[in-house]
Amino acid sequence: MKKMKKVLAVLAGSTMLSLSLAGCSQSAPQTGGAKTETEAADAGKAASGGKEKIRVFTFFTGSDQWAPVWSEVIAEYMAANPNIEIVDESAPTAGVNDVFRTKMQADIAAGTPADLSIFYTGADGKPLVDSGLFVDFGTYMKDDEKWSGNFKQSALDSQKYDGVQCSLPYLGYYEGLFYNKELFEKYGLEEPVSYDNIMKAIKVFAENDIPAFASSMAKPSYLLELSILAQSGGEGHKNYFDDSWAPALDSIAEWYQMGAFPKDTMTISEDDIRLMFKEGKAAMMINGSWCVSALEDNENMRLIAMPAFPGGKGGEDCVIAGFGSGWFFSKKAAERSDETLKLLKYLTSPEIVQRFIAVGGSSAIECPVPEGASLLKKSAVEMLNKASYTDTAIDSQVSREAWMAIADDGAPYLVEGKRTSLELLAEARKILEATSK
Amino acid sequence: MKAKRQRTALLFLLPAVVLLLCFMIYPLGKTIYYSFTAWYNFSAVQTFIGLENYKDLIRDPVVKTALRNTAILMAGVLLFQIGFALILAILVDGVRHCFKFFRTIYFFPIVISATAIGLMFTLIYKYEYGLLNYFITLFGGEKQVWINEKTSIYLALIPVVWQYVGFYFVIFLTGISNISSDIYESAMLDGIRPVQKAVYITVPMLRSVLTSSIVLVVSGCFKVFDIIFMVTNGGPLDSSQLLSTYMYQKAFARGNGGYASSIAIVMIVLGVAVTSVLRKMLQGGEEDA
Repeated sequence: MKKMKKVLAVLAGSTMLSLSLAGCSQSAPQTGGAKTETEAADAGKAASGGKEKIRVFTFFTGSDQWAPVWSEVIAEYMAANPNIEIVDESAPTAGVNDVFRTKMQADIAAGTPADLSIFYTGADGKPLVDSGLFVDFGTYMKDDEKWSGNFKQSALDSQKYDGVQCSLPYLGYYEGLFYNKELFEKYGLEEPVSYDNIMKAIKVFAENDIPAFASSMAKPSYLLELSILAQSGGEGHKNYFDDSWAPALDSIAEWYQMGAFPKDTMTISEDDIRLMFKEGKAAMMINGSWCVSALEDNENMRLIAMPAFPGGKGGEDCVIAGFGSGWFFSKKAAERSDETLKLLKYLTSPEIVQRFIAVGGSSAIECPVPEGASLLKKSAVEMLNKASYTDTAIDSQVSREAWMAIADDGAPYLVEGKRTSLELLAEARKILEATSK
Repeated sequence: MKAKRQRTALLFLLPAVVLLLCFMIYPLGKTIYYSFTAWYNFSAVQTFIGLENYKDLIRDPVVKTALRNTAILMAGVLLFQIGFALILAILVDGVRHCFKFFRTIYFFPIVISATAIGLMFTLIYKYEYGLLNYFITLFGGEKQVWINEKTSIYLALIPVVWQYVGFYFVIFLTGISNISSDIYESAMLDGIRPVQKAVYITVPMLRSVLTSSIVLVVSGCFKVFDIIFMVTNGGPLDSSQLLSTYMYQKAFARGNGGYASSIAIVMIVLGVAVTSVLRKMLQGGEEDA
């Protein structure tokens, strides 16, 4: 009996050991490309039912405006393709805690990205390209010109890294100054089409205990991006962290001192900012196209470009817009089977994209404009049409840490008068230099 | 026979050793290496820069704030977590009815995830849509900005304390139940009062349990992350930053892996040092007694 117990114990121990070693060997890198096609296909298949699992990672989840469309679209695809199971690993981007970025960074570090991912491009997408885990779309696009011909060339060009098409643009964005026309009329104010009008509005709204801007100093990126463009204009926009940006930062500090922001601006979340503006508790909000669907039912909502700052070179001809994110296709999924590519082609078809832009944003794929657009959407189109200079947001052009030096990490100290705009810009330049090496 | 027994013991120890090597020792070694490099955005390129990250760390005012906050946290949890848990355990041990009910109620926060607790307290402290301000306005008062530079670390401390009081409460309750009833009975014959019973019998008899709990509480302070992350995210103006939240921000929100690694190493060194000193002090005291 005692011997039997020992044998059982040794068996249990060796099973545990072999399981742990098996776990290690599974994640060991494949060498020499010896993996057969069958093995590769099996890797994505579920243990039961023989379905191929496709892991997809997007930000279409939680309170994201496109989340409902996304759920519908992938459910329809799985219904039409019973051999496919889409594993939706989407994570939210909004809020103080950006889980979306963290998940992708962890996946890249572990070498296990989703088969198909939507992620930021520009400087944020560079680590993905450098990881070598994703395909170059060049060959795939050449092989199917009917599909690739749907993409707008300028949008494709904006997502090339050293001439290589590492990501496919999908839904575009624009940023601007949202305002509630009703509140301006109620207090006898002119609409915020000039800097002077904005200053007057801040004063009057502060007297009436209404925040002029629904903005968070814990997450001030949109406010900074538009203010910098309004100050620098097109020509100075790419002079990253140049001292000529300082007046834009100083204006924000001045607005803060005038009481232009919510009392809890240092801690308020992005979701609460949007809710506050939607409920008419703040007169203006600097934000992007992702907010349009939630606001367009209110016919008093408008969107314009940030007016030029005093002595600034920006104004209504300068707009922040572009395709700041795109689809990345993992090499592992491409080697496994054609199913992931098939799903990507379905998602980037004009019929599906039209359903997304009916909710908000602009499209990188030629497709019909949704009918019955709201007044807010019309004002957005008008804003984009007036612009002769269009560029993506600065934070997608420079390293994250350099941007944060003037944004989340710097802006609260700036508005409280604990640091100056020139100090923050100098620090950001220093970080930018270090991260560019 | 002895050698065979040792071989069997080694065989059983091996899986745990392999797991520890893979998931603790190896990552720790890598973290030490990264702390001497400039490593951004999890790229494949790491440039060796010697002690630069550590020099920056000494100059960084946020690190000083984080260390100060960790000290506040330690004092807070020692005083309130251990204190409340001990008082509750003594009180509950003395009740004749509803013993199980109180034990369940006080232990309950432990089973709720820290993220959920953090979210709950965020909803309580919010300015515009928060519970506290809702009640204040209900009674005609003016809304307050609860989380500001001066209050943030103390307000974040409340859910941290609340979550683990139940854990130490159960430990103390078990410790009290192990005290021989003969001691209490003879003390009662001498006419001891409840407060005297707690001070002169229960607490001294719990000394070894208290020692372990204090070491656990203090070492746990270096690991607090989730609740602070949810309630204040280290702000406003870094006023509630801890080394753990700052390290996370530097690594994952700013992409500065090298600097974040140096913070992680400081956390480990401090954690080990403080815990060892504390253990020595408490054990020394115990031997003296």
